[in-house]
Amino acid sequence: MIILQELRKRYGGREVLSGISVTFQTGLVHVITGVSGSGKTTLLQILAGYDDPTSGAIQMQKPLRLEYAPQDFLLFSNLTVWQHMQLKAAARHLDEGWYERAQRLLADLGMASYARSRISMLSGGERRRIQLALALLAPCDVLLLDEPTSNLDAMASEHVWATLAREGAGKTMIICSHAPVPEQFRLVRWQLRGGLLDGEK
Amino acid sequence: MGRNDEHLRSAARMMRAKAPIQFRIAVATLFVAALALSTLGLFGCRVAQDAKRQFAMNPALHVILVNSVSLEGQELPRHVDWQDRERIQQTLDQSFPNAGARAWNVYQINFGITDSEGYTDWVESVDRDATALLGLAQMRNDTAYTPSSKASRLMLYVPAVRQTRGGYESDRRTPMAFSRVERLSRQAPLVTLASAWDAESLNGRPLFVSYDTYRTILARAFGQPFPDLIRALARGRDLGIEPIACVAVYVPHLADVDQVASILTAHHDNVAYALGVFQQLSSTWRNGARLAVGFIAVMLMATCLSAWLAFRGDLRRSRTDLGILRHFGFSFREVARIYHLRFQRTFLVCAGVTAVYTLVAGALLFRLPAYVCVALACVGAGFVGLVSMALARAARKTAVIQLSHLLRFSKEME
Repeated sequence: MIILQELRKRYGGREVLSGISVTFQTGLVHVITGVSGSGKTTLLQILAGYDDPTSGAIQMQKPLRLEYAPQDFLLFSNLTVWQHMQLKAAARHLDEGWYERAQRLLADLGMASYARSRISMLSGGERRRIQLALALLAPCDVLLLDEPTSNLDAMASEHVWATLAREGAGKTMIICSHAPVPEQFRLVRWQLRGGLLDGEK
Repeated sequence: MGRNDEHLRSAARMMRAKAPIQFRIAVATLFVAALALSTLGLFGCRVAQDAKRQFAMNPALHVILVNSVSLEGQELPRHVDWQDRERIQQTLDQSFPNAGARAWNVYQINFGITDSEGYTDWVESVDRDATALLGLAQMRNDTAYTPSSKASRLMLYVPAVRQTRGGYESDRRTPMAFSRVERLSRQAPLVTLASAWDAESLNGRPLFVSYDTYRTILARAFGQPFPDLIRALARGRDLGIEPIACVAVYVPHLADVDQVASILTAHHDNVAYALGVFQQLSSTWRNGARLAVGFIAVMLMATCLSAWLAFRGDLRRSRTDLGILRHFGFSFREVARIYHLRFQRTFLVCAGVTAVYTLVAGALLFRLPAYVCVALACVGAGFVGLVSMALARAARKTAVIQLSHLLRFSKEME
């Protein structure tokens, strides 16, 4: 369970988040929608610990392992897909089993044949799937996904949702997405509007 | 820990492959700075060594020659005579006892004596305990000393001087054999100071003999014992010779030479000394040296600063990479370590190259002593090490920057 208390974020004179107080229940898929610039990415960055709120607090019942797949591509253009997997495994101190898991994730996302390709050679959609594979490689409790299917065609999006359904089972997922999220997930929908997060009925 | 370090090394290898042009420029600048530091150090040491050898250690600069005395009320100075050495010694002992200056006579026979080599020799000598003025530990009575002679033995034809009404004349010569001829070092103080000796020709050359031999030559030339000659000279009898060429004053410490010369001048002694000639030159030299040192220091600082700024520039541009590594899950300590490992090998190579260059160039090109080369090699390697440490520290400081700020610099976010 993640509890946000009066969470505020201000950039200069502009308040992006205006005192959000909500609870994200464990094991559910929380989908946050909102117009561009409404603060969805900012909220995810604060949840991931990449940025600090101006005020307010985030409470967790226990220390949670978070993985964050941002909207921007945080990849090394000159390294191969497989080298990214190696870096991720090293960063998270994964044991020997990561190798098979990485291969399976790439296969599930339709990227198995790109393992030796440099990132600079990949399209936006392919990079999106690599970023998701990296987020899913290490064991975690919470997945924070920012526009996980942008740049993807319908077929690739299906692959992504299917993989997330399998790999994210039992995990808390917080997804910011303009695209519709399939109903197969136990969804809790939120709308970010005017800096506040409202639950949708 | 070992396995983790292997992971970090593996990550560093991947990052190394991603070396942007800024990093390569920074590495090139570092090499130039290290080699420039080393070369300037070697050059500076060479100049210092040369200055020490040719100036501070040069015994000729410790010697002051007194060749005449200006008397009050007389227009012309008189030549130094037998009493002057003792007077000068007393003056120095009273006026500047700490200088430890010693005065000796330099003797001459101021008429030429022909020899078996065909030269006309100007025979000279020094007091028995002043052989160091000729760069010798001792002088043998059977040996002739000259700055240039190829002969191994020599015969002097000493003229028998006879007084006539018109002056002195000689129509008879007595041979005097020297079983050995030794060459004097051109670095010997008296040889260095007597510039006239450089103009050596078949018509004349300086020839030094021991004091006893000098006495024997004079006694043979004038046909009477040496003490009688001296007594006659002391009584004011004109024998047509001035046996004392000059009084040579040796000052042990170079810093005291000027003061000793001033004291002698104040006592009406006319002095000539090599250090005095250097005063103008050394002033110019000092100013030139100050300018050169200042210029070199500025150049060195600029080179070192440019190396440092080049690496800092690369580090700024690498913030994105550091941020992405943090995003992957590396802690900030691990990220700093990865960045450090990324450039560590380059710095080790640079330190090694600098040290080897310093040792080889120092020994072969600049011909410096081994300890100087080793010390400079350590300084060069130390400089590279310092830049490396400073950069590692900067990397640590960068790695702890908040992730959102690091990633704001991202150019990888395509």
